Amino acid sequence: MANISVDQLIGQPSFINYCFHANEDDVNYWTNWVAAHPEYAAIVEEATDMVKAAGWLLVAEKEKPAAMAKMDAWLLETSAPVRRMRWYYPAAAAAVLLLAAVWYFRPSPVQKQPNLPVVAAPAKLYYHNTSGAMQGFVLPDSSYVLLENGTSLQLDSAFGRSTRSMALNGTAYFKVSPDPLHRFQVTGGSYMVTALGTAFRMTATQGKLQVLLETGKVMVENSQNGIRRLVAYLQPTESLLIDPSHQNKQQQHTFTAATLNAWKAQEMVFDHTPVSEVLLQLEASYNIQIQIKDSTLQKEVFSGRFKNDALSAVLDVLCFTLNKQYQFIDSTNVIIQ
Amino acid sequence: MLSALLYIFGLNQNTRETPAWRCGMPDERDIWMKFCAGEQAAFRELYDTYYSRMFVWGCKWLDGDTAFVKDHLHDFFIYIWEKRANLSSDINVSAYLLTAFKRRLIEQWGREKKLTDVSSLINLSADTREDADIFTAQFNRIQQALQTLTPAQREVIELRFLQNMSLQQIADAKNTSLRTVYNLTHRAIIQLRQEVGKKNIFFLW
Repeated sequence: MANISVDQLIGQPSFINYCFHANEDDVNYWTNWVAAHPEYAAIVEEATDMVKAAGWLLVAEKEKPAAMAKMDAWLLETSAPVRRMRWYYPAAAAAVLLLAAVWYFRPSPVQKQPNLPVVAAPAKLYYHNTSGAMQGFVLPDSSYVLLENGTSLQLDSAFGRSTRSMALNGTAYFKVSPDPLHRFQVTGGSYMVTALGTAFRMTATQGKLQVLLETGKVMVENSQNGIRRLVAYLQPTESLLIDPSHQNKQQQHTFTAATLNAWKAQEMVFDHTPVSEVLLQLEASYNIQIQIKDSTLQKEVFSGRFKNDALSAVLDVLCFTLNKQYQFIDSTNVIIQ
Repeated sequence: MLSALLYIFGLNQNTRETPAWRCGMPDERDIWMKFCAGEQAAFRELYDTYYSRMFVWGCKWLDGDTAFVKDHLHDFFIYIWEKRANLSSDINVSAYLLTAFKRRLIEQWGREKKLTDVSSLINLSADTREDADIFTAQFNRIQQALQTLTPAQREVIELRFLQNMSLQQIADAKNTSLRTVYNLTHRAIIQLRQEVGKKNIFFLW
């Protein structure tokens, strides 16, 4: 064997067995080989170090969550005598408030039935947008989702049964239909965003995560080796950006509603789309409520393409095709008749 | 899969001279100052940042006695946290943590194995700062390589390593201490020779 390099050595399973003393034959083979090739001693040593270090790193990462928890427990214990007095009264007050809130928001008897629509046909579980523009979908629980071009959303096969879980790859805007009995959870890589009756935009690509919260509340968690860790709670107009490759890994900012609206309305393409769906996308994109007087309209279809257009311009075109009039009741409510 | 991971190690062999961690220095120093000032959040962050690196570093010196390293890493952080008032705030954090941990780890390991001559081994390798810098650069390369893998690929490798690890531990349980002593002695002698070579004094045995 001539010209042995470090990467050739560590690419061989038998060499790895030798490094870990895992297989007697391999250990004997490599021990003899090293003895017979003293000129490669330095390379063998370096390769051995690399293989071992990679193994130890994996062990370290496995041990880390438990070690962090142990350290947190220690910190809590050592700081407890000082804190206990100060924490007691606010904690009691918080407990009273919590009890009051629990009582106030106790589920009414009607709400105990999950308000998911009855789905007759097997629900669609995979959504992928290749239309070239923003595309809207209604999920089986009647939540509305806008997918950016190239984005895919995979619903859990048990979607709606105990939780509403799904995996996102790309950028999407969610308008979550309220359902206190079924958590709405979107995973992106190792991160998990749980929505509590909410509208938010989320981007999950290559380990990065961005969440912009429009209304309601979301919880962001990170899951490593099955252990979940809270990353942040977001309030409306707050955004969170996590980029492991960036020096400042986690950033939390506020954003203006206009930024998000501009994104949502950047490009809309309707191609023989039922009017009901067109209206849903307009409602989500411009943060408005649209009432429609004539229910037969819902069954008609509409085709059109809009790029960064103002709401009034879009409504002009829509109503012209449908031969209807629209009217703003106030800044967020529109009637079409 | 495995070869892909290790290929990256091989590729990075030539980049040893420019340790990437230097870019993170100001940030690190900031955390360290807060640590010295007694901020719990900084303590936690420091532990979080250095856990894996110091774990691997400890394993390197004790030849994979992971259980021992795990326990003493926890104790070490508590130890420096408790004596933070005496720590200098203007230091190379990474080099300080690594050398201090190594020293303490080997001392305690020697105490546990009832070896009396361990302290002399540590003193021989007084100048480990360069060692620590080289290790940090190497560690970053390994960490980057592992990060490029998909969770599934990682899991396969992980299983293999951990499985091999436990096999090794069973097989070597009896002579672990002997082998480690040998390794430590071996390293110390090499280092002494280099020192002697540098200072160009007479070698007396």
